[in-house]
Amino acid sequence: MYHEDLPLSCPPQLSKDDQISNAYRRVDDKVATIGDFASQAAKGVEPLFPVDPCKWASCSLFLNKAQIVNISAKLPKPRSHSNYVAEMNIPASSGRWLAGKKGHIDFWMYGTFNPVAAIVKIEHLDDLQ
Amino acid sequence: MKAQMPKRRRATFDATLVYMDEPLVMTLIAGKSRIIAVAVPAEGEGDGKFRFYATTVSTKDWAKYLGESVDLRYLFTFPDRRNAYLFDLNTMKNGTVIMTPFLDEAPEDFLPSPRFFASNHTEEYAHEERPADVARLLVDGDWELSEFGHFNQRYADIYSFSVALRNWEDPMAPLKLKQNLRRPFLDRPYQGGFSYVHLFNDLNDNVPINEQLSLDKIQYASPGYVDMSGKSDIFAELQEIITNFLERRRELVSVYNELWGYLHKNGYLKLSGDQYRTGDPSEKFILGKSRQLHQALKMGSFTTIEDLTEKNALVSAKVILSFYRRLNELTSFFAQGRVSF
Repeated sequence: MYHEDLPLSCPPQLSKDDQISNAYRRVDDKVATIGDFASQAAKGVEPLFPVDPCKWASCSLFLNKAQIVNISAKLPKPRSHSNYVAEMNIPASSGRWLAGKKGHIDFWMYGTFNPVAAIVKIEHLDDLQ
Repeated sequence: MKAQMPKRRRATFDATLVYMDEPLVMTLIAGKSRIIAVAVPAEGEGDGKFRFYATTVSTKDWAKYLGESVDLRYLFTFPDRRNAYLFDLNTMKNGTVIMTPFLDEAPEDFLPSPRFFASNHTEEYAHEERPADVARLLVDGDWELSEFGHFNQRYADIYSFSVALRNWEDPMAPLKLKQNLRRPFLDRPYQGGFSYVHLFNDLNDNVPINEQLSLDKIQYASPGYVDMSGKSDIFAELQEIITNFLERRRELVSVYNELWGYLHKNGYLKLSGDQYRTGDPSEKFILGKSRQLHQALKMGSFTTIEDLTEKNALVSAKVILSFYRRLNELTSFFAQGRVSF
């Protein structure tokens, strides 16, 4: 049902399936691919440090454009490889998501959802700062 | 003597502050030290490491960062007394990690870019927040930039002095805060202007975050306004002190001149606080005039000033005189019609 294999009890019960207007995701290039939406778990990255496995299997989205621009452009690790931000309109029945209190969303996509098709536009970080 | 090199250090995870697919900024505790760490690029493709560059942060700078007075880069670059480390998050066991000292100058690759503030955190982190009460002061007339800065400085001086007195009188205030409030009153010689500048700076530095004064908004026009954020009860107290000063200025000038003139004529202005002895023949006069000026200024309880100066009449007098001078400068802007409530 989900795009990725998820741990037990994931997504959490508090998550919801609803549309997200104006969600933002960092992508590596001006033409996004499905790989830009893969979670760390899907990339095969094994965390040995304590992290919620359900969160590790999620795709990070943001509700605030300035916040994702600042994180992507100003923090050393994302700054080294992410140069673009995709704006998306995600319709209902695309997956389940859980919003934190500070603008970050954990998103678990359904297998039927194509995130690339939900992209409205992609902008270079240099044009957004 | 050989300089001691920083050692490897164990740190315990406290909280993730920024998360985007993985932790990017986190805070840890090493002994009594606060640590902040940022994820840095991998050395090679697929090395399996989650490298973080970390630095110790003073309590004061940590509060400033969370209060958005400084950005993240500042913590990694500006403070002189700090130790830097590297660690691999993948070596963390039971929430603890061993950090290796990083003695070289931090490469740009490891540093956050300027203007990354705590408002960009993705995770909640409990901390004291600045007060949200707003006081609006109306401004009018013509201003030089330096005058505007001077006005704000004097307003902040009187604000922080009032907060300090209240916190000293508060039986619930932490002991450490009280020690920090008393120290500037006792450590300075009070023989010249710098002691007073340092006193007010120190008091300002010791205003707890949840009582801090900050500039919220300025509309610079004629007329315009300045919105200050702070505590409403302190704003109300300042309004009363300023209004009182403007109404009783003639009387206040007279008492100030009497006290200052006496200290000047008898060489007490040049005498340091610790050279002045209890029982000095001048004590009765100095205390009497200080109490009179203090009362007329509506500075609260004279006992509080005596407590803070350990009943040193000369230091009490000099502190009250310095408060008067700052208030006189502040109220002059109101008297000129350039500022009003």
